[in-house]
Amino acid sequence: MSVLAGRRENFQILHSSFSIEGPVECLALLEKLLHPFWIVSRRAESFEIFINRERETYYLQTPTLCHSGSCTEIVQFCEWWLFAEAVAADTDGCQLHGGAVANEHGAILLLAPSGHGKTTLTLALMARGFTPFTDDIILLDPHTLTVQPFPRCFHVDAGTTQVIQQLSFKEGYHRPSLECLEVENTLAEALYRPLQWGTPQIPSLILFPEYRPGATLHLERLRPAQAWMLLINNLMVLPADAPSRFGTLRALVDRVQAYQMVHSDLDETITALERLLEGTSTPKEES
Amino acid sequence: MTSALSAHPTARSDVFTEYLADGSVVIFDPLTSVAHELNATGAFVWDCCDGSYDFQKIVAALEECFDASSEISTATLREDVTYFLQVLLEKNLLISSLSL
Repeated sequence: MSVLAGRRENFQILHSSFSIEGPVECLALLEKLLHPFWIVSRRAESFEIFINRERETYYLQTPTLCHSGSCTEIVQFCEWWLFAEAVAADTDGCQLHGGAVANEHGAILLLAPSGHGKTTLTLALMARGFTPFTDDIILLDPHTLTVQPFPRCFHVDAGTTQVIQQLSFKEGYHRPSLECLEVENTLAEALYRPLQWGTPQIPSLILFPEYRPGATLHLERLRPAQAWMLLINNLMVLPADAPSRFGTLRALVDRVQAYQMVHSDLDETITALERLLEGTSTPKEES
Repeated sequence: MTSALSAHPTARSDVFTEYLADGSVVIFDPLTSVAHELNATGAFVWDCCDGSYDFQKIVAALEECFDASSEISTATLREDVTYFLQVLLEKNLLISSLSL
C-alpha cells in the first residue's frame, strides 16, 4: 500500500486534537468540512490518523479502526469518526443528541432520535429567522447551563432538502443562510454549514418533537421527571460517565419548561413554538 | 402467581435512583444506559423493592395508600403490581428471581 500523502492537517474538536495525513484530494475536502475546527499545531496530538490510497481505493487508518472506500466516502466517515471520538473523550462536558436554535425570545433545545424530523424542524425554524447552535450535538455548559454553538456541518438528506425548498416559497420565510458543501452529489447527504451561529444562553424551552405525516399538532407539557428521563436518554456519554451529568440535567429541567410534541404542518408548528417561546421569555429575563 | 406471593423483589443495587418533589422517580440502569421515569405509585412500589417486602406486603401497603379514595379494588391493585414487577423484571432491574 503506498502512501501518496501530500498534506497534513490538524483539527481541534472539543478537547481533542487530531492530526490527519493523507492525499491532497481527501485533506482538502476534510479541511472544508471541518474548517471551524482547523488549527495550526506543533504539539503532540490526541489522535494520529492516516489516509492511504491504492489506485482508486482509499484507506482510513485510525487508532481504533480501518475503513476503505472512495475519497468522499472516506472523508464523510472520517468526519463522523472525529466527532464521535471527540465527544467520547470529553469527560467534562455535557453533550446531548439534538439540535438547538434561538430567536430574540430565547433558545430551544430539540431532542429526538434520528428520523424524527429534527433537522427538518431545525432548518424550518432557521427559515423563520432562528439562529442555530447545532443540528446534531448539543453542547451544554455543566456550570452555567448555557447551550454553546457547535459549528459542525448539518447533514441534510434529499427528503429534508425538498421540504425546506418548499418552505422557502411560503410567505414570511426566507431561505436559511447556509454554505453548501455538497460535493458532486457523491455524498449520501448534503453537508451545509450555517453562516451564523447562536450566542451562549440558557435554554428557554426543551422540546421532544416527533414528525408524523398528517398528525394534528399536539404539545404536551412534561413533568420534570419525564423531561429528566428523556434528557438522560439523549446523553452522548459513556454509561459510566452518565451519572456525573445527572445533576446538570436535573438543574435544567427544574428551570426550563419541557414539552413533547407531535406535528406535521411545519408552518403551524413554528407559529406555536414562537408563541410558546414568547411566553417563556419573562423567566429568562429575570435570570 | 403462587411463587410471587412469597418472593421478595429486590432492586439491583447499582441502579441509580433519584426522587423528585412530586413523588415520581427517575431510575437509571448503568448496564443499558437507559433511564426510566416512574410516577408516584410506581415510585412507591420501587421503594418497596428493597428485599423486605413480598408481593402481598406491597399490595397491602398500596391498599393503605389508596384506602381513602377506595376507587381501586384489591384485585386491580394486585394486577397492577404484578404487571409492574413483571416490567421491572423484563428490564432486568430486579435481582430476585420472581416468577409472576
